[in-house]
Amino acid sequence: MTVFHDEVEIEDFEYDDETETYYFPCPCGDRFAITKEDLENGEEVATCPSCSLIVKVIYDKEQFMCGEVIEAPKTSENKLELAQS
Amino acid sequence: MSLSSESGELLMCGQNHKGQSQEVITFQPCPLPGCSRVQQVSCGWDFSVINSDCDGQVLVCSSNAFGQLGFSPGITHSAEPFHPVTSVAAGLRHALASTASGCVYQWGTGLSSHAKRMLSPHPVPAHLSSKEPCLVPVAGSTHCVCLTVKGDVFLWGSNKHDQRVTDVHSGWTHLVVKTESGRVFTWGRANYGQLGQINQSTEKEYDISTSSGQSISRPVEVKALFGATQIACGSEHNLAVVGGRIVSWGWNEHKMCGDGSLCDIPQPQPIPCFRDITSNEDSTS
Repeated sequence: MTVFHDEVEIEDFEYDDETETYYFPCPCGDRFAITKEDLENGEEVATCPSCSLIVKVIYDKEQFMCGEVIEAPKTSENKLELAQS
Repeated sequence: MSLSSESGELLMCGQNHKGQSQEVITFQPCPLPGCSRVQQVSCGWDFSVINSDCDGQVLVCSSNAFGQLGFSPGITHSAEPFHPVTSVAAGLRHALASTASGCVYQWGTGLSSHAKRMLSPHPVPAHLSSKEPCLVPVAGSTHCVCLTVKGDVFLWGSNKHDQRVTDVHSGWTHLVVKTESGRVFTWGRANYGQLGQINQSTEKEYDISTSSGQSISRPVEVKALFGATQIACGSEHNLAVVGGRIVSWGWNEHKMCGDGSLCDIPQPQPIPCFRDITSNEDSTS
């Protein structure tokens, strides 16, 4: 069973546009971090790069779930490529 | 980091990407506009609160992302005067100030989401979600405040307690206080041994157990710290000078308790390498 140091709401994290990562202060002086991608994948554990402490991120998973649709390759185009090769 | 000298000078060092201080690794003097002496300085995660002796003015600087400077968003540096204050304290992303008349003001939204969760469906009190100083409903005369990063507030004034408190120190989630008679009490989060209290099953006084760990909400005396002359709190660990010896206890993952190990220290222990060295009782803290 994972023991969280704390539970922190996503609103309390600070977001860095460059790294697309959410940060929250860690008692060791570094910061807990979780990427936007992690949140979109339903992850809820923010880790600190300097120590063993972890925090649970409280957020609405539906708001973060990735809404992109991956288009299936068009089969007609594939047949054309094969014909030309 | 910030220090105030006996002469009232302000010294700071550390990161300055949010204007907390000069970008140096040694303490440098930091002149304040229009004021000659600093009474008290308190640091949050990325902001500082300075209580000057200029008509009790409070100066704040650095990050205002959570309203912790007490002004409207968009202002990152300011030296506006506040009210005549006697004491200031900074949490992670909020701050408090007490006035000579016994009022307490709070600003910064650092506790807002936690309060919303705990109090739901009741509304969050104004002083926990305000980005400007908001009067805190508190009874009695209060001339000093101290708070932990997570929001435990300790207020004290004349005749407020049976034991007259002389010193209050806080970590991120726990408090250590000393009374006039030299007794030391601790309370708050306990799971890293930061309270220095005995954990025997017969004496267990944990009254809250959450996924974040156990905590004690009422002050409990730590007899091993009786007569401590100096106390200092880190985020989740502590140092003290007792009987001329330096002791440490609490979180030790980064060896900050100084015993050479990585194991948390549940009760105050003398730091081994200082065992043969006694502190100079005449030196100023």
